[in-house]
Amino acid sequence: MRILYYELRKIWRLPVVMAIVFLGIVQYFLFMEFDIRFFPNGHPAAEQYGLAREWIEKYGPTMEPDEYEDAKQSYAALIAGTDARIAADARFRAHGISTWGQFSETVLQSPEAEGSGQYGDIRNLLYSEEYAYLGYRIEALSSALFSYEIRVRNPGGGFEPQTAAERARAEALSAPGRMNGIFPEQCVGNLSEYLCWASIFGVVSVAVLLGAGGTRENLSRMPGTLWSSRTGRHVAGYQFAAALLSAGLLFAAETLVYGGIYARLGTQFFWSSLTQSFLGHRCFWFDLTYGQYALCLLGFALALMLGMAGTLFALSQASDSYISSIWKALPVTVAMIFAAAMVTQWPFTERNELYRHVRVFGVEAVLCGLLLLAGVSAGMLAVHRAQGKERLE
Amino acid sequence: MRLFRFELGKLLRLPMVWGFLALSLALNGLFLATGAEQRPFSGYVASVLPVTYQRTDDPAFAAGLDTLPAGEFRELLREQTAVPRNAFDGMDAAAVGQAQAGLLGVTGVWADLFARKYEAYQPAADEIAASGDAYDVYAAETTHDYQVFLIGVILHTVLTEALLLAVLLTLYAFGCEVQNRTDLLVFSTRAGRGLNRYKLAAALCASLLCCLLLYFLTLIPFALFYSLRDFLGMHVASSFNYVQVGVARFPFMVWKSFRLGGYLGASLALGLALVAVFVLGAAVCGLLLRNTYLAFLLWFTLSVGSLALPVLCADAKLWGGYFLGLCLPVPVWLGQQEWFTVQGINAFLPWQETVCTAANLAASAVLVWLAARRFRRKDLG
Repeated sequence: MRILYYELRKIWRLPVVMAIVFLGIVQYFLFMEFDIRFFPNGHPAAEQYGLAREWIEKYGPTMEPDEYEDAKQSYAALIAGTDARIAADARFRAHGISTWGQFSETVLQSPEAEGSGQYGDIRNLLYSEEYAYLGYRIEALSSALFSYEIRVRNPGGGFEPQTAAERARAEALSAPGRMNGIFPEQCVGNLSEYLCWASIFGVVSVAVLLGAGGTRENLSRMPGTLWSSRTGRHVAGYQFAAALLSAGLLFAAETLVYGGIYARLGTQFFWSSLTQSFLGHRCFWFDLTYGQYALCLLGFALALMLGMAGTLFALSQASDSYISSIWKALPVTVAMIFAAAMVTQWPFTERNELYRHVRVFGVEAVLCGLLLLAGVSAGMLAVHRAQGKERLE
Repeated sequence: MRLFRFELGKLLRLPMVWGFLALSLALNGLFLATGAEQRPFSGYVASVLPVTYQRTDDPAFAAGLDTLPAGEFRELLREQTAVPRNAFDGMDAAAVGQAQAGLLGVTGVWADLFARKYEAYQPAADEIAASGDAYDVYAAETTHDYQVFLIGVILHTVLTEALLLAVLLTLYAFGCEVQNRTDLLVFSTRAGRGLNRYKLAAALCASLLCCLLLYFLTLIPFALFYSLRDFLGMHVASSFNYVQVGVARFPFMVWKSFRLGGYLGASLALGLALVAVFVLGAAVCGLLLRNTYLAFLLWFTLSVGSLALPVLCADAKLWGGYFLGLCLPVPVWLGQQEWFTVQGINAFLPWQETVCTAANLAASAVLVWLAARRFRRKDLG
């Protein structure tokens, strides 16, 4: 345990940690803050998101037929309220409009509704803060009810299956009650983009932390000295364990910091909601809740970081100069960044870039597993080599 | 000279250098393969140039097209060139500047500086319009994609690799003595700490050599596959060439009416200057820190920081910081696709990339001198 602690101390050096913190801050403000600052991104995304929350609070994670009828009544009530507000407002009356129906037929269908057109002012008014974005709320509610009609009452639409597995999935989702989940799909888009950047930073931070660990040992002629100690060549195992543990610690720290920031959005409210929902347009290959989906993404990030740690451990052990270790780490880092970007963007859906190329369900998890295995195997091989090395040669 | 030769030999004998070059060339080959989509049409345009000549406003162009065998590409080219267009004719550079300033939201003295850049551009626009260079067919409607692929993808990748290699070579040159424990021996010789001069010269030479090698070994296959030779005489200010800013398109507003060959030459020259800036920057890190890894980390964090500076300053409406950030070497490297143009919201000065590279070169030289002085005065320890 003491040796592991010493090895960890060697890895976690202040200048390196400071560089990682600096890079993490820059990474956040350059790429990740957008997903926090602009979520939900404008209108009607805010109304769609608000509606999903409201429905989950009222109906639970799924919408049953009787609840759908209730939602339709809410829509009727919203329209009635809007009618009353429109009728009471002289600005609408000046255009001869006193109900939402008239507004919808006359204003929304007219090219004059844009900008400085004849109806531009009242069109903007109903969609403004003064009217609490009523126009967007009506559109969001009406569109959600329409989606329920299309995707729950008349399933089978949505996407064009191209493989037998996709056809089987589409068929399975056509069964009654499979598409009635309430969930705003924008949460998945936002989370996957945020975690994509977090994973990329995770990979880079592991590279920065472990890129030269073994080389430093070699340069300070430590292996020979350590091998002659009582722990002997087992010290290589401790070093490898320290590298993996460091990657794990980095992952935990980054999850805490970036996750804590992300938690401010409050999307954990949907933790138990199925991602497959009639409110979305994507087909998910597995029945995962938002929480499980988030954990999968975090698992991908952890696998890549551990795989990276194993690979870098092996490469830095085999380097006799810092520049050599950087040179070796560069292509690995670029490849891992590429892999992180491929697996964390909309995984388990048709929108995932990797899936589009191979069309195998769960290929993202398979790739992460393989990279983890390859990295850890490389690290273990390096340990094995160190333990079997003949110093006299 | 002998010491310089030794140092240069040390660098060029590194197997890693050749490995890196081989990997880079393999990657460039992969990128070259990705542009195949646009190749048939741009290849067709290049192949008919001996018949049509290059200017769409020349009656010989349409007449030349008529003599070609009928086909889909001929009709497409005829359609695209039916109305010859001079994007610079009657251009109001100030209006373009105002539109760009609106996108950025710049205010105060920086807005005036920004506006002055466009005022300064007006004579160049008039000159290009009068010369009729904008009538060049270049690669017709695929011009923008061709230009982006050539400069924004291929040459940008090459320059990125060259810059990275330059930094690593320089850091190795300055760090190898400590790593091999020869520093005490070497610095006690008659050349002593003056050896750093030779190390810097060797790193600079090796980096420039590698950069040239990468450029030529990538451009040769590009020229073979993408008809580069046929387009070398085209003016990059062709009306078919444009710059995309959000959803808006602006003409490729170069400060001087370059032909593609000249533009590539100027890009290469500026690229080499930028390599020199990066070598000097890495030399500063190498001279300040004994540990090569920490020196690399210092260079890396400073580079990432300078990349973030303009973005964060623009967000905070700190236009002075934004301007300063854009002048640093990393943002200059990032804007390679639009070098020698007005560069929209990414520049405040005429020829900004050239001015900034020259200024960076001078500033880096001063920093190297200061770092070397500190190194010379440093006691052992």
